[in-house]
Amino acid sequence: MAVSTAGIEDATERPPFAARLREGLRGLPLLATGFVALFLIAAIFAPWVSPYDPAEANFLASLDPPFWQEKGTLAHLLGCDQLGRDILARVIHGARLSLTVSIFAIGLAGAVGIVLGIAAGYVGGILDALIMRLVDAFLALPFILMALGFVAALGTSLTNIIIVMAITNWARYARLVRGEVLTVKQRDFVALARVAGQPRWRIAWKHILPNVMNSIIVLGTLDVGRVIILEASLSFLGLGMQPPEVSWGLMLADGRAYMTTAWWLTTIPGLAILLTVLSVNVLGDWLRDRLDPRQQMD
Amino acid sequence: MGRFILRRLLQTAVTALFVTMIVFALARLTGDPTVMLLPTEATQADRDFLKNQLGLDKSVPEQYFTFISKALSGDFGTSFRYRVPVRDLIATRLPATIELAVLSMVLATVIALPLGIVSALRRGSMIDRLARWFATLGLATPTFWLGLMLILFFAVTLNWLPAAGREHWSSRILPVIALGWFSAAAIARLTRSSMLDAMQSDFVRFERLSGLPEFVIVLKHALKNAAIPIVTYMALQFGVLLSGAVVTERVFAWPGIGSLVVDAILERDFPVVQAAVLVTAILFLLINLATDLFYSWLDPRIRY
Repeated sequence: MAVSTAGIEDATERPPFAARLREGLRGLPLLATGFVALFLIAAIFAPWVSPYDPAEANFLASLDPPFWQEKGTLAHLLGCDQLGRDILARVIHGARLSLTVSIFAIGLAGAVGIVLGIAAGYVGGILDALIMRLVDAFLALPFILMALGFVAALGTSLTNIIIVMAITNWARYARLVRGEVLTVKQRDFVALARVAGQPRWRIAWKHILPNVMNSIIVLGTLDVGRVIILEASLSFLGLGMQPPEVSWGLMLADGRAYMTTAWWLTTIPGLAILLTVLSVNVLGDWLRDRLDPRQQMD
Repeated sequence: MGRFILRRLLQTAVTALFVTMIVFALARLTGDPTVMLLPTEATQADRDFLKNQLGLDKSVPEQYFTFISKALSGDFGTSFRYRVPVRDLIATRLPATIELAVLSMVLATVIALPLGIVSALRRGSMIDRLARWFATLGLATPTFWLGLMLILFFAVTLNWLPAAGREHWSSRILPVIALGWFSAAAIARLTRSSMLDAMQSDFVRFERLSGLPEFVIVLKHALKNAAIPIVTYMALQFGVLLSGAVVTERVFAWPGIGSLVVDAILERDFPVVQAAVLVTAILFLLINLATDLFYSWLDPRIRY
């Protein structure tokens, strides 16, 4: 007997595509979406949209201010750093790094969290107890300290930073998934699938996972901002990305020494982080209200 | 009640055990400490001698057991760099970090609680919209960048406040604002939603019908009900503060655990890193335990 939840909506007449699209996008925060789109374009097409090579030094342009300042030029819209590297080019390439780190880190953390969360919630018993205490332990370790500890142990490289982010983030996914599994497990279609003699892994994959996916997508989106800030923090401390990589956190660390003379070195990369995280969070809140109203806060 | 406390204590102990395992595993991942401790021209015999001295020639479970039993008696080894017991280093730096975290928590609470409550009571008003913007903005601001901007504005441009140090009371203002900002936003947001829930609950509706004055309903009943999620969340925020302190301390040259750890990592002074992570994590576990016990006393219905 095939038991599936899919196909139930298909029984009723579906409204036309345009109407469904309009309904699906109701209340979409336009400004935030626009900014996220800009961020994605900058990140994905960085080498093509960037006005300069982000590593190219030009001592004649050293510490040039943004164009609206006196002495600023249109050649370098957001000014230059101490080595005369174009700030706009570096912000664009920084976006690329932030996007790379957040996609891979959240993907990895989510995957580990899903597997362990399903194992804990579905199998239960001693395995559940063990996994959940491990989750508690990871949630108890202060986030940045733990990340620093792992970076110290593994060393700094893009791959290691991603692994560290995943290590420090998986626990919340595991907890979320376990909670969802416990409620989904009680539902009739899971019981039916079991009666029908389907193997456990198949029930988990076919019936439980699709039902917890919305919550995971919501948490994942809301985590993008966290990961961006964490990567920037680590890089700022000198324990994340290393030059010649371009990271917003590194730009801030570099700019710090010039704070009294060149404010744009610290202000602009910070604003890039703030605006990106703000937009992603606003979009994530909207997504949560649409997909997973139980987590709603506002 | 007794069973609940016992169970919660046991849970915390098991979690703490896992924490020690993670921290121990961290230390194993870093590789051979003798490479850092000995000069490059050291012979294999020197290395073996030092390994024997440090107990690194024993089996992993044995090493873990030694680590645990020493840690329990407060012995975290000797700092590679400073050549003094790690315990002493932690003991001199921890109070500064706790001071920063507690002051930030006080600031966050003083701002967030009234803001969240008023925002919930005047839902949809101008204040509510401002409060929600404050929360959204606060949650998106990187702590260390806010610190830099505060220095740029109040220390560099206006020259009103010191940019670093811990000597004068005024040097506490900027780091506390930088660190407390995020938590203020987070707590305000949660206070608002908890108050909204409480105000819509059946018993508040019932009390309205029974004609109790609105302020009595709000202060005595709704707030009391909303308090439990808020207090739990504040305990969690304390962990965020301890964590955020690492970066904030670096920005403001605040002499706490965070500055110590960052230096220790850059110098590969691993006993210090290990001890600092462990101590902070245990501190956080204890705060959560205390909160749980506190609200099970506040509301005897709460059990796991």
